Parts: sequence; structure tokens; C-alpha cells
Amino acid sequence: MGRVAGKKLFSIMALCAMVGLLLLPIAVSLPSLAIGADAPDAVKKEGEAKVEKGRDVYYKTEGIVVGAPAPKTVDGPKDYPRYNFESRVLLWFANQQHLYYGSFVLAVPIFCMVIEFMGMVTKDKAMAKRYDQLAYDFIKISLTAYSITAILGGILIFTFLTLYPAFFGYLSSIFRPVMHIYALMFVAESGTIYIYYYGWDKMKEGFLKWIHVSMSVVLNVIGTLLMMLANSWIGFMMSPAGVDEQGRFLGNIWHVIHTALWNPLNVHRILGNMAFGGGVVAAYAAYKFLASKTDEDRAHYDWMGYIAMALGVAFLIPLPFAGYWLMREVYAYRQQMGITLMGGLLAWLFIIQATMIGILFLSTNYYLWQALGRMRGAEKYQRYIKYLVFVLCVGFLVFITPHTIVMTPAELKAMGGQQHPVLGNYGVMSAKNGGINVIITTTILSFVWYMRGNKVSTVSWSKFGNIFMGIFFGCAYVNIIWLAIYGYYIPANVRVGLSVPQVATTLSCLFFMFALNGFMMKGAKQMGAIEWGKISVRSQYALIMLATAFTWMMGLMGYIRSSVRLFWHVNEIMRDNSPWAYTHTVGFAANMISFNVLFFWFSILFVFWLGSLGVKKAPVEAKAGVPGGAPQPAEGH
Amino acid sequence: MGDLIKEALSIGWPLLALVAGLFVYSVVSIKDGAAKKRAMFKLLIGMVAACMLMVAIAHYKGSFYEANRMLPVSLVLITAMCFMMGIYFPNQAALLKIGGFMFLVAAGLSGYGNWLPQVEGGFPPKEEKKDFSSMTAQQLADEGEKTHFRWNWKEQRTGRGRQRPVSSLSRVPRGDAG
Repeated sequence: MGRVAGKKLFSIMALCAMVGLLLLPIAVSLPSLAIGADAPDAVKKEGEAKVEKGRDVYYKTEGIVVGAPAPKTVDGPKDYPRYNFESRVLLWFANQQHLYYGSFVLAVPIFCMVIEFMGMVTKDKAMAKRYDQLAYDFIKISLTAYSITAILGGILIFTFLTLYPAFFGYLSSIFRPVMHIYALMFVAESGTIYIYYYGWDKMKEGFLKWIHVSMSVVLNVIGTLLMMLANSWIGFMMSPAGVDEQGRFLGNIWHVIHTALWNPLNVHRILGNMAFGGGVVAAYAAYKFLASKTDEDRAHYDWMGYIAMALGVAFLIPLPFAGYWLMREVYAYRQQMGITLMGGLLAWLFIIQATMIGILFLSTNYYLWQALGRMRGAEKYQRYIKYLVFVLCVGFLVFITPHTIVMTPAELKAMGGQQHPVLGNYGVMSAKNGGINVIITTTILSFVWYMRGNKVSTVSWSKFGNIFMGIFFGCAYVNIIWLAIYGYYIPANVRVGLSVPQVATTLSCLFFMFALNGFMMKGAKQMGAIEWGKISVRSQYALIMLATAFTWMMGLMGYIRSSVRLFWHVNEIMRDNSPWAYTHTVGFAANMISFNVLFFWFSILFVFWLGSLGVKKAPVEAKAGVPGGAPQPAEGH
Repeated sequence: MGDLIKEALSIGWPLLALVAGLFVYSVVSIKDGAAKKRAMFKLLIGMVAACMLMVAIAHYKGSFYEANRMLPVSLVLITAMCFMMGIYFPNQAALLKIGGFMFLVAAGLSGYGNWLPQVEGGFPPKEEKKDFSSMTAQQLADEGEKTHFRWNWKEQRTGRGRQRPVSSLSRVPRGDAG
């Protein structure tokens, strides 16, 4: 009893220490913040004549100048020291690798929190143990990645300091207190994640388990705040605020952080990180599945892959909508920036992005259809899959059709213009909105089929429920397609508004149909257990496709977001006067993104391999599973 | 092709030397005939794979800069190498096949990116102070257009931007996509 009380006391102390660490950066940074706030007063005391006021470029408020203007750089060793290589490419590589690992280690603890919580509230003890083991497996993968993230962060800072000293000096002069908070929060994050991981076994029951889950909440709060602080830097580079037109800091650090694009970037990034994290864990599970020698291992990793995929896709579905919001805010901030992105220099990259989104959804659907094969009773859905394939392909083709077509001069002459008389119609936003919403709605339908694959509803109103569901989906398709067609007959400024009812229709399908399906399947008759592990090898390649496509798309979108600044380090404040102040071709960007993606996957496979070195094989008798039963954990702690 | 092989050898001779060393070691140390035959065969496959990898790296290195539609060939070559190794090295088959598949996906996406029209944003215009008060209405309108559509947009339209020849296919190298 005394030992349990001691453990409780220890856990509470650990939690308090973590909360203290969380608050420490704020306390430490207060004097730094005060510099910004007090400096004007100090200047005032010296005499009113010395006070210089500036006007905030974004908020349009007046403030007292407390910072130096943005440096006017010149191409030379002082501002742009270099190796015998393009500095921008080196920075691109360092930045991208840090971001990949950072996204991964931010997303995985969120999965752990959700899965550990699910394990705690599940009444079935075997199931609870499985969830707990899964959460542990997840955090184990992320721990080595966490160290690599920190190392890559160091490399990134050194790259900035050595190759772009003038720019980094300016940025750190503006964000000085934020950077200190960031560093201290990183310390808090490190402490929390290590206590969370190493305390897993000691805090596995009762009240201590709740403390453990609470720690994961603290861990994720810190992680999310870290991400938001880092986003404030890129937000400032794209849409500066809190400075005057010369780039002089006006004393309000909140204005500098809370720029026009900060919140859309936060939302878009957190969703993207989650989808990416799900993809990486799904690929890990697929690798372990393909390398498994026993049915039990295959069952476990099949299940793990499914959970990771479902979590990733859950965040992938709202991602395009968050992207729309970000683009809308970009247009609202600077219209020419939006035009450069979607109708100018970078427009072809958006066609690649559309292709990637299509690939992600097609892979997800393919995996779900393959997964139906491990359920008895799911055969009834197989004959309808060809129709879903047709609908998805049509949606995909419309979604990726460019406004103007790649062609030879002879073809151009024969066609009489850059727009094809038929295909040209599909290159506009109205058609594309219809295309992507049809794809997402079809993915939701595939998920609904998967969830009821081996079940037969026993509720008295099941027939009515099925008819209602069918009509709801039918009406959703009609509404989406009709709005897409209607968009051709109205002015562009009104047409933009049509995306709202289209998105609302898709989200209605997601929430209402999932809820309805859940009610209908409550207490449903099972046609047979899900035979985990009895899934085709092809399905695992779909997961790997999903992971690779996520990684590629992250690289692509990061490049687009960064290159939209064109020749500015900080948009309209600090010019890039290096020899690389131009935008590369699409082809070069694609090659560089592929290189980054492949490097990341090589290194993460190394991380997986490192993780497998510490695994102790569980005793054989502990792994004796019931054929067709629930998968057992494949590895011990 | 000769240059490519020469470049591949200059990059990868240590690897080839290592495989050759293993070859000699196997010939000398393995006494059992069947085991020796197996080891010889695997080393032969390893040698072929090493050659393919080096050629791919040399090709990738040579065509990394500039929009080059042949660059994905390197990635496809590595894909083929991974799958070949996956067949003959069953213990690492899962890892090799996954790696090969990832290379294939990357090759497809890189190929797509290189196939699309290639437009490179030009260097920024020089900073200059303008006196708007002395401009004519037309000059002001021109400045407005520049501010609104920015240099890259206009230069793409008028063909004055830094525009790379895409390839001998001479495709139309610009246009808005959406």
C-alpha cells in the first residue's frame, strides 16, 4: 500500500515538475518580453525628441521603433558566404529533413495519447492490452527519431548561421524572446517524452495510468506550441507584421507572431503532420508485416497498419479544406501572391499536388477494398467496387486536368488555342471542387462499407437506415456535381462561394453517415471475426504508397509555400540578393523533392532497424493466438 | 554511355573492390562445394547490383541540375536493382522491395515533374525609386499592372522571363494550370 502511495506521490511530483518546466520558459522569457515593452518607456525617459515612431505594415497601428531596420544585403562573402555549391539547396535539404522528422515526432505522441486513452476506457481487458502495446510501439519508434530531430535542428541552425548570417541575424533579432521560449520548451518536451516512455511500465495501472495519460496531454501541448512558434517564423517571412516598412521591430511581439497567415498555417500543418505521421507508422507496420515469419506477427502488424492508416486518413480528409482556408487567407493578404501560386509561376506545382492528393485517396480506397478480404461476409460489397473505381477515376481525372495542356506547336495550331475544347472545361476550379469532393465522399463510402463489412445490423429500423444512407449518399453526389456544373453559369466571385455547400455536403456525409452507421452497427450480428493478417501483400504496398506520397506531398507543399516569396527573404521587407534569388524549374524542384524523400526514407528505415535491435522476443507460449482471433502484441516492452 | 561508365567507376570503385575482395575471400575460405557455389552466385548478383547502382548514381549526379527528363531513369535503375536483390537475398527481401517500390514512386513523380512545362522565375528587378507624381496616366497604369501581377506573371506572358528550353520536343513552355 505504502509503495503504491509512494508511486502516486512520485507521479504527481513528476507531473508537477513537467508543468513547471512548461511554465518555466514563459517565466524566463518575461524579462526578454519586457525589453520590447519597456524599451519605449526607457527611450521616453531619455527625452521625447529621440522617440521614433513607425507604422505596422500589417496591423497599421503606430508603435515606437525598438529594432534595427532589415539589412540590405549584397552578394558577397559577408552576407552570403558559401561553399562551392548552391547554398539554397543545402538549406532546403537541412530544412526539409528537420521538418520531416519534426512532423513525425509531433504526430506520433498524439497518436499515442489517443490510443492509450482508448486502451484505458475499453472494458475488454485483452483489447485494452493491445491498445496499450500499440501505443508503446508507436512511442518507441518516435524516440530515436526524436534524437535525430534535435540533431537536424542543430544542423539547420548552423546552416543558417554559416550560409545566411545576415538574414538569420535579422530574424533572430526580431524573434529573440520567441527563440528562447522555443529552446526552453524543447527542453521541457525532451524531459516529458523521456519520463513518458521510461515510466510506461511503472505507471501501467489505476490512478498512475491516468497520470501517465495526463503526461501525454502535457507532452502534446508542448509539442503543438513548439510547432506554432516555429510557424510564426515562416508566417512572418511570408506575411510580416509587427514591423514598419523598413523592417524595424515596433515592440509588440504578439503582432510579430500573430501574422495574417499564422493560424491557417498552424491548422494546415497540424493536420498535415498527423496525416504524415500516420503514413510513416503505417509504412513501418507494412514493413514489419512483409518481414514477419509468423501468423501472429502478421496479425499484429496488419492491425497496427490499419489503425495508423485510419488515423492518418482521418486527418487527411479535412486537410484539403484547411488548404483552401490557407489559400483564401493568402489571397486576402496579397492577391498577387495567390495568383503566383495558383495561376502563375507555381501553378504547375499545384497540378502535381492535385495528382498527389488523388494518389493518396486512391491508395486509401484500394487498401480498404483489399482489407474487406479479411472479413467474412464482406464479399457482398466486392461487386460494387468497380463502380467506386469508375467514380474515383472520373473525379481524379477531372481534378488533375490542367487549364492549359502540354502540347507541341503543331498540336497548338491544330487545336486553335491552349485550351482543349472539351478538356479545357475541366481545368477550372468549379470542376476541380466537384472532382475532389466526389473523391472524398467516395472514400467515406468505402470506410462505411469497411466498418460494416462483417456485420449485419440487428436494429429494427435497419432497412430504413440503409435506404436513408443510400439516398443521403446519392443526394450528396447529385448536389456536389450539380453545384460544379452550376458554377459555369455564374460569375467567378459568386462561384467561389459554391465551394462552401460542396464542402458542407462532404462533411455531412462524413459526420452523419459515420454516426448513423455506428448506431446501426451497435450490437450487430457478426458474420465472422476479422482475420487479421489475412490480407493481400498488395495492400501493404498501398500503405507504402500512401506513406511515400505523403512524404512527397509535404516536400512539394513546403517548396511551394517557401518559393511564393520569390526574391524576398521576408516578403516586401528584406530582399534576397544572393545569386539564387530566382525560382527553380518544376523539374528541378521535383528532383530535389525526390532526393529529400528518398533520403528521409533511408534514414527512417535505419531508425526502424535501430528500434528492432532492442526488441526482446516474447516467449513462444505467450504468443499462442487463437486462429482468427484478435492479434496479440508481437513484441514485448 | 562510355563517359557514364567511367564516371560510375570513378565514384564506385571502392564498392566494387569490396565485392571483388569478398569474392576472393569466398573462393579461398569456403570449402563446401555447394555453399561456395551459392556464395559465388550471390556475389555475382551483388557485383551486377553494385554496377547498376553506380551507373544510376553517376547518371543522377550528371543530370541533377537542369530540367532533365532522363533523370528518373536513375531511379528506375535503382528500383530494378532493389527488386533483383530482393529475389536473391530473401532475408532482406521485404526491405529491398519496399525500397525499390519507393524509388519507383519517386521516379514516377520526378518524371511527371520533368515532363510538365518548365518555367524558371527570372532574377528580381533592380530596386529603383520612382517618382509617381511625374508619370503619365499610361505609365501609372503600367506600374499598377506590375504591382498587381508582379514581374513573373508578366514575363511569362510576354516570354521575357528566364525560360529554359524544355527539350527537343519543344513543348509550349508556359500557361496557367488552374
